[in-house]
Amino acid sequence: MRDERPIPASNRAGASEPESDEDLVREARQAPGTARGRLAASRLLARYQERVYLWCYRRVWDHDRALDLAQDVLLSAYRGLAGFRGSARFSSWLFAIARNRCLSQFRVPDWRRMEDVDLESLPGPAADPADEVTGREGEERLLALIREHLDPVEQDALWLRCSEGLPVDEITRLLGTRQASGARGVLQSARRKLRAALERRAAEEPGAR
Amino acid sequence: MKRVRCFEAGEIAEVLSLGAEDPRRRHLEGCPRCRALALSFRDFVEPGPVPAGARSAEAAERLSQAIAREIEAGARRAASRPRTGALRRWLEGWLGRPSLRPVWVTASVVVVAGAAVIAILSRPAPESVLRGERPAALALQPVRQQPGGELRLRWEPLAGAVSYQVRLYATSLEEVARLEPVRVPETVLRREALPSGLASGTRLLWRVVALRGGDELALSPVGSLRAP
Repeated sequence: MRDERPIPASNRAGASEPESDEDLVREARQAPGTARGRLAASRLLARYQERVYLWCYRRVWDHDRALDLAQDVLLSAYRGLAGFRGSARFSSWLFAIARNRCLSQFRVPDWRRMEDVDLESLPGPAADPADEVTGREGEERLLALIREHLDPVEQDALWLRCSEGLPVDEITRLLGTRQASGARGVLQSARRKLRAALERRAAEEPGAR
Repeated sequence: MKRVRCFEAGEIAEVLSLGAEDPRRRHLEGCPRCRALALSFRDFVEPGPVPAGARSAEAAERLSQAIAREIEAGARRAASRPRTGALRRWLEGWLGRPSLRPVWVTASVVVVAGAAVIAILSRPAPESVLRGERPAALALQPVRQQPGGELRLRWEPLAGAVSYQVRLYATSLEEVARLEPVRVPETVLRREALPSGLASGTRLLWRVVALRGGDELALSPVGSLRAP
């Protein structure tokens, strides 16, 4: 005989979520093997799942790839929760996991990869100045050069494109760029200035090339 | 004056919470690399409107399911792990008796071998993945609403299962209710089975556990429904 009588449910649904991330992390770490610890972990990750997905989506612009990445990030976070020391904020820690996953999977930091800046339209020698910077001076020298010659918006756009791997349209959104050409124009301007600065320095220090 | 180094991604929330006069915060404001990291982090915690083409609700549901599976798999692994501390103390007490030592050494080998076989046989299924093939057994069928508003839940039967239990979860993965086990691969979810504070229409996740005696044989994938 079929028995469909429901077991009375404990009245836990709809409970408010007053706990901070840190409270939930503490609970999940202190009692990882218990239902309470697992519940804390699941609530913590549920808070971030949409944010992780959207952040990944804005880097790959593909639902399935973003979903795979987000799952990878969230499950890695769950598995690594026991080792999370709590010295950093949970949001930062999760962000670091997401950023590492996205950057390591889809690109390596490469200052030459600025194809959407339309290199061919820029004046100057055939050699890409960014190549020279990468080869000869490294990131710290490049930072100094960028600080010296580019305005803050150009600095941010260049770094978001080359280091954070953001698509140009996303940089336009993040920076709230008012130019008609959006971040593309800002990046072109940054690149032009950088090229000119490198050429000037090469002329002043011929041995430096 | 000591030079402030650039920040790692894991430090960025803390630095953003510092006052404007803090040297680390001043470094952030003046460093293109750290500013870009901060912009990226702000975009992470405050994502703004959903971009065109993103399927945020679907992603949330599927990620909830993936997390639930992972957590449940972790719980099952933990439950199947032997309590080595207590076992060792017990064995040490007995094996410490010189007259019984040969006997207990032999017995302990048998026990360990038996435990290993049991552990292998009861090893949980490989980790679930978001996409890919699922076993047909316990596959959930579409939820159907009955004329009275209750929901008929059905799933594929599992060979060897004696009964099935439906478990319901909030989207936060908090368990909301367990229905009484049934012997056939379907049941009806009525309003009374849910907590009184739960609004009708609330999205819930559900899954089926196949049971034999007190053992859980298998878990179904996770489905979604609206509370009746």
